[in-house]
Amino acid sequence: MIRISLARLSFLLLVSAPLGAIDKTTLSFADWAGYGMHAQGVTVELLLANSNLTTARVQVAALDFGPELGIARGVQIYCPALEIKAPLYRCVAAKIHAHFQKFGSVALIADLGWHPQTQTLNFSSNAITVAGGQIRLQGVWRKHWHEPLWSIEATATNLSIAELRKQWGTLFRLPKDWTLDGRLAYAHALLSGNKNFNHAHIDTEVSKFNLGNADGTIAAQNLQVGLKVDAAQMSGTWKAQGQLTGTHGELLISRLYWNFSPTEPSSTARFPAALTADFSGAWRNSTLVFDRLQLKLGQLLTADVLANLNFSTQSPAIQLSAQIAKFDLGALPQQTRAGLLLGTLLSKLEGRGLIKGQIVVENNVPVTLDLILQDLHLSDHVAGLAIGGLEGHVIWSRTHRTTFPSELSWQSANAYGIGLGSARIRFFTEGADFQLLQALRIPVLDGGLKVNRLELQRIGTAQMSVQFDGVLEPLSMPLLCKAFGWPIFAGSVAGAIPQLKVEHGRMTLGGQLHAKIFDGDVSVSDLTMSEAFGARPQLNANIIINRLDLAAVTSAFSFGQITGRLSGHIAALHLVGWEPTAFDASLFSTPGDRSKKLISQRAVENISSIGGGQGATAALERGALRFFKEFHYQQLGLKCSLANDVCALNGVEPHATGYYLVKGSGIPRIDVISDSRRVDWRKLVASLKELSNSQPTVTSQ
Amino acid sequence: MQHLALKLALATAILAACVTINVYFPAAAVEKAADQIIGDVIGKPAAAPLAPHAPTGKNLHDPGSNSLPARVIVLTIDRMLNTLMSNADAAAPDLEISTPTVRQITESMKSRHAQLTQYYDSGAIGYTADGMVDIRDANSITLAERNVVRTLLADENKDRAALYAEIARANGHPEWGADIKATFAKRWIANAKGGWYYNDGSGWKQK
Repeated sequence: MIRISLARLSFLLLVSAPLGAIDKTTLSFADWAGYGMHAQGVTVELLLANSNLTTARVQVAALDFGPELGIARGVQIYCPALEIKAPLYRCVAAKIHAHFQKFGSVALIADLGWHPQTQTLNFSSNAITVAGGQIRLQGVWRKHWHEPLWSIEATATNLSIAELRKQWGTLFRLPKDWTLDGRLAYAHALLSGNKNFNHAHIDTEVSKFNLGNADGTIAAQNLQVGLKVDAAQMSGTWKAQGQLTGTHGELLISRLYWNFSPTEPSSTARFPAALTADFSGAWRNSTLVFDRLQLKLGQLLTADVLANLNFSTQSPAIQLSAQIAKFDLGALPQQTRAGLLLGTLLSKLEGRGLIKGQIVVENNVPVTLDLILQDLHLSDHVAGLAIGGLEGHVIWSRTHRTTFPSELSWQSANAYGIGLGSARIRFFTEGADFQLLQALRIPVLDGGLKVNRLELQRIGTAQMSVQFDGVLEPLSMPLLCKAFGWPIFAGSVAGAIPQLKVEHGRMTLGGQLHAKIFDGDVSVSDLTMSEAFGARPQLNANIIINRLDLAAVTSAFSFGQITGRLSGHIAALHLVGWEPTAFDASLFSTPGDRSKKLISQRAVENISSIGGGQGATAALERGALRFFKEFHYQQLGLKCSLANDVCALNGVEPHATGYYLVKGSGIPRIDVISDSRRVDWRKLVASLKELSNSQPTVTSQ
Repeated sequence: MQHLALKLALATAILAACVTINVYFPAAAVEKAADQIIGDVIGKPAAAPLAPHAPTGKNLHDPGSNSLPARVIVLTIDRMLNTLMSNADAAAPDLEISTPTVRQITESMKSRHAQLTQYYDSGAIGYTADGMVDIRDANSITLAERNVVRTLLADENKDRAALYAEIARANGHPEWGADIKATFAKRWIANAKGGWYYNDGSGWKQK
């Protein structure tokens, strides 16, 4: 094996050139090393044309440029005119061909120069047509204190990324079913080093960049991205600083979507939704460390991030600490919001307001939050929930109870149409646990919900448990009626809720709610609710009604006047989407009630219509009845078992032809008797609303 | 002769005692209900029904004995019962689908369908073999709409699961849920408009 240095080679050239008599000189050596390169199977062939102009041909079986550029095989350099003008050797328009393992075949024409005294080799290519664009390369190799120094400068314009992928596929470590195209509009790279590659300056701009995986979860469309990086390597560690910008196009990574150039920008800024990432960091042992990452994403986000990304495992392990200076919910586009909330309980949540604070992530999982909320206004029209003027400080730790409690306050809120007043809440969090620190009172409908104790464990899991102790201070019934769009009537609702249980998304309230309405009592027990945040909340309850003043009830509902007292129950009430779908109701004159029992003509007509009767008005207007506007009754009542939109009816007492809805007394006595056993619930509700006049079987004695 | 008659009567009594009557899954009624709901949702007249159903119930008899007279009797009873059940099936009452919950879900799906139609038309989404909807070609949906479509599909599939369960529940047979779902799966495909995609379990196909 012959090992020969470039200096020695130049000596050979120097000594052979003046000989003149030699027409052809061939030098072969098996191995050559220098300038950070290693060549094997080298043949140099010199053909003398005249005293100082020589044709040269160099062939190298394998030339190793080091780990960055890799090995080139079959390297051929043909120099049609080697000018030897000491101390400079120059070859204009040398034809070079090589096959790189990394880049494939490369063919180019370049000027080469060799300055033996400074031991400097220059290289400058003409424009190489690559992937529909052009690349120019320049390189310098020289020795400095026995150390090789080299630099390569590449300037590329308008390269097709799809073509690059075809030609240099190994550079793009993408699965075959991913699509990729776009233009490398401009790229300037200055790479330099000695024995090793140790400095890089890159300035590049990619336009119309499209990327997509097969299932459409990762995609870029029409992206315009710029990257400037200055990087240097020392002792095996690369340190870099630079800037990444994204000014046009759209990007989707799983559920995270961003449009860098929305058609309806929310600001007059030139690039209102652009991404700017100023960074400095280091790369060592498969780990990328950002000691500065200043992010700005349109009007949405401004943050300073410290991050550590370890790529040694199949899925990168991320540790980061983000100081969020601004997260403006109002600047969150609807499409981005849809992705972030996909699959959550409040998937239609929207709002505005600012969030600041700090997030710490360890091994890809958030471990602490320290957030300040400023004037948040949130609403989910599907779930029927809203909150306004939400402010405060939320502190959360995944692993331990925080030293300081969290505190939130809001100006107003709304749940299912019921307005809630302002309140302040203090609580501790730890992982998936929540503990109310001090009693909370939320004003509701001129009353309030007082929560003495609220503790939740394992939130979001099937094993979630809740400890609750609350009191519903008397709520105004007129306001409740208004909220639900009912006819307005007086009264109040109150109750103690000693227990609240949540299992598999089903919420069960222990205790009873008591309503004082119409001078009587209504108690609600066994209240359960499921899909509370869904489009169709389901509610179950048992209701007991005691001694309602019928005069007050009938005046509130414009039903026609009835006096007396009403009791009964609505058992197994089931509401879906706030609409009754099943119940077993029985309402009747309160047993033992000694108050005066009178029923007006209009009330008779309306009760008749419930019983499915026709023509009550005509019957009442016939004969002597027309002189009486009201009648005495002994008892009245109605039973309705609702199932599948059909109400199975019954009355207070059987009759030969049906059942009594109203059993009269005195003279003139009026009975309302119905033989309808099943009525259409929706029609019944509609007719009750319209209070239509229809005639039952009315008998008078 | 008296003994023979007695034996025959006894055998008949034993066979009759062994008869197990299953409650048949009312496939025809479910298909009819499915077509009605699907037509309501997608705004399309119901598709032609499938071929007449073979009864899906199995064990109407227990052959017990292999003796000829017994087999004849069993077959006769079997045929009679089959005839009765077929007649009952033909005259099966409509499935209960008028509950408020079914109505609410149907309205919800109908309203959502207006948003999904363009994606059915473009082949971005299609019907699956399990009676649900899935993305067939996400890359034909713009990036901006991709998460919106995913949200719509999540809501749609939640509604569909609730619909199948509610029909089973409303008809007093929660155990029919899987069969109702399977029937609906076929009917969604049968009612799909020309050009829409469906996945019958062997890959996506265009109708």
